[in-house]
Amino acid sequence: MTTTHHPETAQLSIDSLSKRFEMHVLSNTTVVGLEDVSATIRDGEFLAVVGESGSGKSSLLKCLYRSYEPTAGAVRYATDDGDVVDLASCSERTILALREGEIGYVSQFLEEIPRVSALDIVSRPLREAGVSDDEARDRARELLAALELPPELWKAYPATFSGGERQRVNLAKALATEPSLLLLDEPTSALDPETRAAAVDLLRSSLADGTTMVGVFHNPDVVATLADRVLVLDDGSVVDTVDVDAYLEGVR
Amino acid sequence: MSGPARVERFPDSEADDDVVLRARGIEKQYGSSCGDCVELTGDDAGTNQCPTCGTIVAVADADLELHRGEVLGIVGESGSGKSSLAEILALELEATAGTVDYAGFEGNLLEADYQQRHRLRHEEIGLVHQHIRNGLTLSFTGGGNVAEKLLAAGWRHYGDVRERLTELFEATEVPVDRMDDPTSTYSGGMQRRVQIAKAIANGPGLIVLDEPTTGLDVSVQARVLDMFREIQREEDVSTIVVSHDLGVIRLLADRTLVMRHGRIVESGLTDRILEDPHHEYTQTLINSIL
Ligand SMILES: Nc1ncnc2c1ncn2[C@@H]1O[C@H](COP(=O)(O)OP(=O)(O)OP(=O)(O)O)[C@@H](O)[C@H]1O
Ligand SMILES: Nc1ncnc2c1ncn2[C@@H]1O[C@H](COP(=O)(O)OP(=O)(O)O)[C@@H](O)[C@H]1O
Ligand SMILES: [Mg+2]
Ligand SMILES: [Mg+2]
Ligand SMILES: [Zn+2]
Repeated sequence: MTTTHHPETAQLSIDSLSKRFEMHVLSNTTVVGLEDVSATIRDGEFLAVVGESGSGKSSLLKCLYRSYEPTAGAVRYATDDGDVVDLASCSERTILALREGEIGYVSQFLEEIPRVSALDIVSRPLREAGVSDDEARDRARELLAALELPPELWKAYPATFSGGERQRVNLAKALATEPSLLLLDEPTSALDPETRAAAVDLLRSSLADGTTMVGVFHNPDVVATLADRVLVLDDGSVVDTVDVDAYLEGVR
Repeated sequence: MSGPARVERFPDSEADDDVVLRARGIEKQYGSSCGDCVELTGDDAGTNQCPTCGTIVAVADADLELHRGEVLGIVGESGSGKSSLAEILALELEATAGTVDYAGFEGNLLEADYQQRHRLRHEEIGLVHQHIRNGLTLSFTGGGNVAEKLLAAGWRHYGDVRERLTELFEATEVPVDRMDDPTSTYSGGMQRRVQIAKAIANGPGLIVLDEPTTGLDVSVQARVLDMFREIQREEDVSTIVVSHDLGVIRLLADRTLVMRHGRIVESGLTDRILEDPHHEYTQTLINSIL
């Protein structure tokens, strides 16, 4: 058996995770995204990831979601069923099933969205999980309303939406299925202060419901409101893991 | 580094029971082989044509698995062997070598006899051809094209057939009142939809879509893809979608194979292929889009 820092409550245990990119095309170089990153995230905790641009924040989230294939290391994740899966090495089928059922991700960049209405985009994951159409749409309306997306946009195609409007659709879609683990990569970067506050409130209530989160947020106020602990990255490596209060003291 | 043995909640691909199709060593050659054609072609050789005898190795060494309800994408440049592989799996093209296990079929699917093939192609596997004229008889009515498939599967009563046709036209969003017009009078998007209606007519377990958006306007493309996604989800049908368009693959496929010079050079989760491509060719492909 293994020793994790909090064996009974660890939701996610990242162990010496590395990611290198072999670039064959342009320069035939190797780019280091992450180097030997370890961290433990407790059930229901919010771990903020901070660091300069290019320090590996997005790479870390993508390795956890497996849109990047980790080069080395392990990510032990406690599933809803009480099993432990290594997200770094488990089969693609396992990842797909976990994404459908319990791991959500909101990307830094706005997803290309096809000709489907905002309401359908947000309710689709629920319908795919077997929730009735009516119930799924009700839930989607609730989320879009909480994120202050104007109701006249609910039936429109987000392809024409502003950055902030799209971002809210992405966030609502990820929250709709009430994931156990939510990975957030600057999901509020395009929002004005007021809508950002609404988004943060929603994330807070999702945390209160027990969702574990790993998130990148540039705004220190958001970090202060949501985070329990902070992982500081520099050049792909962990510099420090500190309680949020200690981190904020350093920033101020 | 410490760590528990890998624990899987879901069975891994090699040994699980939700595999619908497992293909091994699929190969298709055009020409009279000199015996070394496979070694002398492929990704490393940089060609699919044997330098010794001129044989075209359209596909070789292709292994893949398809799971229940999954959409598997195949991308690659023109001539890389996508359609050849897809048509072999849809039993429309004879392979030179290879084995395919298919759920519910005893033995190698590629060795099915004439009668079995006929039944499988009409009831079990639906192919939407890259070239519309290979999939539809344009002088027939739209309804006639789809009815052909129903009749081949044993439908007999006129009323039942009409009812099913109406259902299929509605599902694929082809105007029902155009059902009795010659297919040649339909728009490209309608023809594609009729092909999809035909492919799903008998509730297949596998659908193969070859370049489903070729020749369609961008707005029509989006509607066809979306309609197909809805149907795919409702019927939970396993699907192989071939496209050189990464947008189509991104929208539809759970996992993706990348082909070049008749070989599968990379495979993985679709978002992983798009965001973290490993193979030199895949990197070129992605870079050329960005
Ligand atoms: N009947 C045939 N006779 C000879 N060569 C053929 C035949 N059909 C296909 N080929 C060759 O096999 C190779 C693979 O063709 P295939 O149609 O599978 O490519 P593809 O990947 O589907 O291309 P596209 O994107 O252009 O549709 C090509 O080199 C092609 O010229
Ligand atoms: N898909 C990729 N291909 C090649 N290099 C990448 C890729 N993604 C990230 N990197 C590199 O990895 C490093 C970390 O990037 P990233 O994780 O995006 O940083 P951050 O999110 O902290 O700004 C950078 O040097 C970046 O250029
Ligand atoms: Mg980033
Ligand atoms: Mg083709
Ligand atoms: Zn040869």
